[in-house]
Amino acid sequence: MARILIVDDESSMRFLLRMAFELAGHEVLEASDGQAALERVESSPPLDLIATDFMMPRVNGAELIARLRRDPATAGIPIILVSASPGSERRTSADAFFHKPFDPDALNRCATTLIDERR
Amino acid sequence: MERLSTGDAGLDQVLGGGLPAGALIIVAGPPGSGKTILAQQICFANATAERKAVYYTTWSEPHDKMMRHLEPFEFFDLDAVGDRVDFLHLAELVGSDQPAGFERAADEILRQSMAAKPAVIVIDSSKALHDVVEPDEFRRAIYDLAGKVAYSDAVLILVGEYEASETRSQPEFAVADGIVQLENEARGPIDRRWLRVLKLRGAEIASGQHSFRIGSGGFEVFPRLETMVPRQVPTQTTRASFGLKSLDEVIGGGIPRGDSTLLIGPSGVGKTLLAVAFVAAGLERGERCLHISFQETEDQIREKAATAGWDWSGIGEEQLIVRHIPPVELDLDEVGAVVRRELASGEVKRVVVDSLAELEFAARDTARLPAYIWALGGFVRAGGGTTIFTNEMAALGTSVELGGLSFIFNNVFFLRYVEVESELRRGLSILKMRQSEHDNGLIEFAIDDDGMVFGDRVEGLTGMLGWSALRGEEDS
Repeated sequence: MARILIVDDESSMRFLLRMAFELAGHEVLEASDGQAALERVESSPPLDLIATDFMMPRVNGAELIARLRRDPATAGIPIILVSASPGSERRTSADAFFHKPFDPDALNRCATTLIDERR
Repeated sequence: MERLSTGDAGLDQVLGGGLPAGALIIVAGPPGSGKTILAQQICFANATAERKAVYYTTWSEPHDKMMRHLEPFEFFDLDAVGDRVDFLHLAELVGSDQPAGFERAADEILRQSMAAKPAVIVIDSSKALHDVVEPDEFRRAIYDLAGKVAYSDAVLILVGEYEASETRSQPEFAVADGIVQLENEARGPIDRRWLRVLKLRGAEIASGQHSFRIGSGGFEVFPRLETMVPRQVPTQTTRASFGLKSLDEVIGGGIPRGDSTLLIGPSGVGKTLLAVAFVAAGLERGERCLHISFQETEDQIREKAATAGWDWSGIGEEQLIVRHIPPVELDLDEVGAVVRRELASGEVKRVVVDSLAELEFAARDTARLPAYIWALGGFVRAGGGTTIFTNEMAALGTSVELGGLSFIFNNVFFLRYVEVESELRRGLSILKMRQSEHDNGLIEFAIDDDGMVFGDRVEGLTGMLGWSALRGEEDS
C-alpha cells in the first residue's frame, strides 16, 4: 500500500482518482489546487506518489511540480500529471502523463512502477 | 478604445466593433441557448501566447467533458488548452461560506488578471457567486471585482442561466458594461435562436433581435438587416433597362437605377422570366448581377435563361451570382447576410429576389416584413444597385393584392393574364412608377420560342381591373 496525494480542482475528478487508487489498495489524500497541495505535502506523512492536474487556480500543476522539485525533501516524489491539456507534459518535469479521461488500470500500473522504482 | 473580437464578424458588428477591453460583460440565457459556446469562442479568438484566456467554471460542466463537447468546433484548438487557454475550476475556492468564499474566488481572479494579464476571463456560471455573498452586498462585490480586473484590460465575462426578467432585477446587470441576452425560442415546430445586446457602454450597438446559428464554425450571428442599412446612398440619374424594346420604351428607357421594383402576377405569367431578362440586360452591359432564388436552383435559372435565348454558360461568378436559398426554415437575417456578403464582394448593379412570398412566410408572426424589404432594397441602393422583387398573386387576375406593401416599392409592375375574344393572353400594366412618366395602358407580351416578346399597347379594352378584358365598341 502506498500513500498518494491527488490534486485536482474538480471534485468529480478527485473522486475518480480516489476510487482508482483506493480500489488498488492505496491510501489517498486530496488537495483542490496546487496551493492546497503544497500545504498538504508539508503537513502530511511522507508521500509515495502525487497525481496532479495541470490547470488549477492559485498554483497550477506546472508551478506545483517545479516547487516540489526544488525542495530536496520532495524532489524525489514520483509525480503523474493527469490533464486535459495535451501539451502540458512538455511544460513540466512530471514522471508520467495521462490524458483525461484516463484509464484507471493503466494509471495504477504506472503508479506501481514509479513507486517500486523509488523504493 | 481597444476592441476584442468575439470570433464572429456578425456579432462584432452588432456590438459596434467588438467587446471593449476592460469591460464587464454578462452573457445571459436559458440552458441550451449557447452561452458557454459563445464564451469559449471569445476565449479562443483572443488568446495568444502573450495574453491568454482564463475560463473559470463553477458548477457547470467537468473540464474533460467540456473538451469533448468543444472538439467539433473549428475555433477549438486542443493545443491551446493549458497553454493559451486555461480551464480552471472555481467551485472549490468559492465553497459555501460567506463572505470568505467570494473573497477567495476574487483573490484568485485578481491574481490571474495581474500575473498572466489575460485578454479574457470567463466565470461560468457566475450565478454560483450569489451563494457566497449576501444579496445586498453582491452589487458592491461585483463592482469591486470588475473595477480591479479592468486595470489589466481583460474583458471579464460572467456567464449565467439568467431569465429575461432577472436582467432587470439582479444587481450584476446594473454594474455590467455590457449585457448579451441569448434565447432559443420555439416557433411552432421550429426553434429560432436569437440574441439581443441589452447594453454596451461606449458602443453604438445594433438594437433588437439578431438571429444566430451554432454550427461547426461556432457562433454565427446574422445582424438584423434593418439595423445595418448604410446611411449614405449615392444619387443616380440613369436607368436600368430590361433589354425588351417595347417595355423599355414605355418606362422611359428602364427602371431608375437604385429603385426597388415589384413584379406581381399570378403563377406562370412570366415574373421570373422578366426578372431573368433584367439580369440578362445587365450582363450584356457588363454589369455584375445577383439573383436570389428560393425555389429554383442555379441550374434551373440558367436553363430558364437559355430557353429564352440568353446563353450564360460562359458567365462565371465574377459577373453573375445565383444564390439558391432553400425556403425550408428560412431566416430573414440569413437571407440578408447572403445579400450583404455578395454586395461586399464587389459592385453589384442588379439584384433579383425571387420571391417575396418566401420572405413573407419567414417573417410570420412578426411585423417586420415592410421594414426588412425596405432595408434589403436600401442595401442594394447604397451599393449603386437596382432591385427587382417578384411576388405571386393567389388569383389569376381579378385584382392586385399587395398586402399593404406597395409603399415600399418605387415601382410596381402587374403581369396578368387577359382573356380577349376567348383567347388567354398576357399583359403588363404599370401600377406605379415613382417620379417617372409612364404609359398607363396594358402592354401585351408573349412567351414563345424566342423568349419574352413585348408588343404594342392593347387598345380598346375595358374591364381591365377585372378578370375579362372586353373589347369596347368600335366607332362605326
